[in-house]
Amino acid sequence: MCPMTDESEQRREIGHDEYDPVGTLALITVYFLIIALLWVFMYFVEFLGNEPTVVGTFLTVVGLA
Amino acid sequence: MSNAYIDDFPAEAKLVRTAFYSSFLALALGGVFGIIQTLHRTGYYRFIDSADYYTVLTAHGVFLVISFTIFFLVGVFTWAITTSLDRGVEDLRFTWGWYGLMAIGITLSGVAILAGFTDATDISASVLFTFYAPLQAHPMFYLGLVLFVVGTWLAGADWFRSWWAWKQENPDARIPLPTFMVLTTMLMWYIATLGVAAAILLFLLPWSLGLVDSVNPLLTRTLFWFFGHPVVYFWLMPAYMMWYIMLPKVSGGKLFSDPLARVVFVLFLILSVPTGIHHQYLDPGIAEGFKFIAMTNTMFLLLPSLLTAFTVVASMEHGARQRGGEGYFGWLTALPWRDPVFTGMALAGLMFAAAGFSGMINAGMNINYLVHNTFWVVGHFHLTVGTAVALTFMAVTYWFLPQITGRALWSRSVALGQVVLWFVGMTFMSNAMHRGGLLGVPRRTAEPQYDGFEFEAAVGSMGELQAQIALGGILLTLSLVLFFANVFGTALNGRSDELPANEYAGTLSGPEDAPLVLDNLKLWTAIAVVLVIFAYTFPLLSIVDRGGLFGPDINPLPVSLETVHLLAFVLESHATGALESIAWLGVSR
Amino acid sequence: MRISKAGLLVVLALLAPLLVELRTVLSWVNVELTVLETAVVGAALVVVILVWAFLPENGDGKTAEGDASSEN
Ligand code: HEM
Ligand SMILES: [Cu+2]
Repeated sequence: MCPMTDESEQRREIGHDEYDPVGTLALITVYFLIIALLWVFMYFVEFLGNEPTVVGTFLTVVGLA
Repeated sequence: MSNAYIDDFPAEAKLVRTAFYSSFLALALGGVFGIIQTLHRTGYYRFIDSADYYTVLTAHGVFLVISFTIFFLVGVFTWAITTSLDRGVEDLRFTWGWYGLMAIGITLSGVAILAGFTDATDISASVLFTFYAPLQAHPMFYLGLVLFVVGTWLAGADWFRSWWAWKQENPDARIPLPTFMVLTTMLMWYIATLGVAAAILLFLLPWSLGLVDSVNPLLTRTLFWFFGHPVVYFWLMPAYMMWYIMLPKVSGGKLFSDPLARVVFVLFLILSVPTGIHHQYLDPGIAEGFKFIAMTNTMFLLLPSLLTAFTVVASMEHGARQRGGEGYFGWLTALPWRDPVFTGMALAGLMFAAAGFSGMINAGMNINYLVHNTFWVVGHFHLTVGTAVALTFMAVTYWFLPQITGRALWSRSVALGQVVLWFVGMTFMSNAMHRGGLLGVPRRTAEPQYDGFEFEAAVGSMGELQAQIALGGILLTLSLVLFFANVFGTALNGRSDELPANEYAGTLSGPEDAPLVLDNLKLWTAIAVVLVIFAYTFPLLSIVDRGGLFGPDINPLPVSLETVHLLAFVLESHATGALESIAWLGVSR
Repeated sequence: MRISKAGLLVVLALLAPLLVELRTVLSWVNVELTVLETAVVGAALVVVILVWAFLPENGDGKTAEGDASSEN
């Protein structure tokens, strides 16, 4: 049993120039899509579903009830 | 004889080991308080008095995010400096000196916190890890924190000293990547800790000693967050270091790009501090414009995080392809999932990606209003510091333990079970915390239940959320038990001669591809300081201008019962006075 | 086996976040599951994954490629 996973399981050597990280691209695209979808979802649920929040040009002072 | 760290640097290995064990002790204590408060606030098992809840929560927060994380950091950084410069520390006595200072400091603070549980002394420090005034702790608590932080400063000095000595001998060489990461992180830490140092030494400690009567709470809060945001990167940077230099190696590949890694650390040095006000979006007394600047800086901080996501995933993919992985997603199956070091770090990274979303919600000034001070925030940081950092630390511990003890790991299977269990437990706990927060469930509350009011869940029920949190907390606690079993089991093993060598990942694109200017630490520090001055001068001036350096008279808490009665009496007479005059007005109309 | 034991463990773990949020997703299309129903769906999925994982490979040997990690 090898104590660590290292060279022992390496099947080939891929140098800087042959390496094309398409899998990374694929994963990050998926992540980006999820984030974008959640963002849209956030808008519907949290803004359309709730009363207006207190951000604004005039009414920023606390205590205007 | 093997080539493990302990073989090359036996004296340093002892220090790293001591730092790690200190860190694990804090983790154990923090974990115990964690499960107590989880069961308490969800209502499943309440055996402490709710009045002691803040003492429990302070212990949980301080032990986990101050002692667990930072002791681990000093261990990792000492390992990184000595390994990557290939030289021992310059002066072992100095090294033990800063460790000792940190240990004494945290012991003082810890005793002050735990003393809050007994009435035998009037020492207490139930001020939570943010120690906002008017919550007031015994002076011992603040003093301990000061000593602890000074200890970390000296540790940084120790690492800089090693680098300078190395530079004399290697005048033209590039700074090795791990050393570069340590140095930039420490520069950030020096700038950041000026905030807490000022808050404690100028205001909170004198106030707690009775030398000054009052403080300006908004000022000390702002100084706290000056430090409070960058401290999250102080937790995160050792984890990032592990993702950059260990994860590629355990995946069977190389780091995709050394220059990109340097850029990321430089960006953190520059951008970490001038963002702290994003924790104060709801503080009255800070103008919206300043908050907006903090928000903009925060959004820029997404950049180094996205760069990290790319570099780290690309490095893993490199490993997977060298191990024979194919396809757009198929390579994922070629990763070494059997290895707890790998799986733990990969799952930690995955949870960090989820935290990226809740963090974006927190960072937006307007959306923040929705989740501020709710359980959502607690859900968020159990994904970041509680998993991305803590799980990475636990996972790499399985690599470090043999290196620093010279003993083989007790059980790899238990280790694998442990990291997976943490992932599952945290999924349950953190998800329900986020959801609870959206319903308005407050954080830092012993009994979040109110007469005549019910939280209403859109899907499922409040009770289900509570159950989910309790279940998650129990799984996490079990996971901790497995972790400690492995730490003890390994310590009890005999010395092994077949340990893996002390190595970190090579690079596909090395330092020779990095522009020289990246190594110009003076330049980056100067830029960081300028940005901090821009971001903080005006807010601080206006806070002092309005509230005074020592603030309007505030009443420190905890207050004794007599003061409460007095306070109630004063309030009551004011109120009746006011009512009478209103009535009088009404009559006279 | 079609997947390494460790890989199987991780796949099962990844099921947790999916199941937890499945209820929310389904509620958009007006399917409201109780906890018990969710647990049943979860158990069913676990069984499906287990059956798939333990099915013998159809002799083409291709899927064994990704199995590198099971050997150590
Ligand atoms: C056994 C595992 C854990 C459990 C069951 C747990 C549970 C909890 C709960 C329920 C709270 C919220 C209490 C409240 O707001 O009323 C909390 C707060 C917190 N937890 Fe944890 N936690 C665990 C692990 C961790 C870890 C590993 C870290 C960091 C490394 C961490 C850091 C924190 C911090 C900083 C707070 C906020 C304290 C405050 O509001 O002052 N926790 N934890
Ligand atoms: Cu922050």
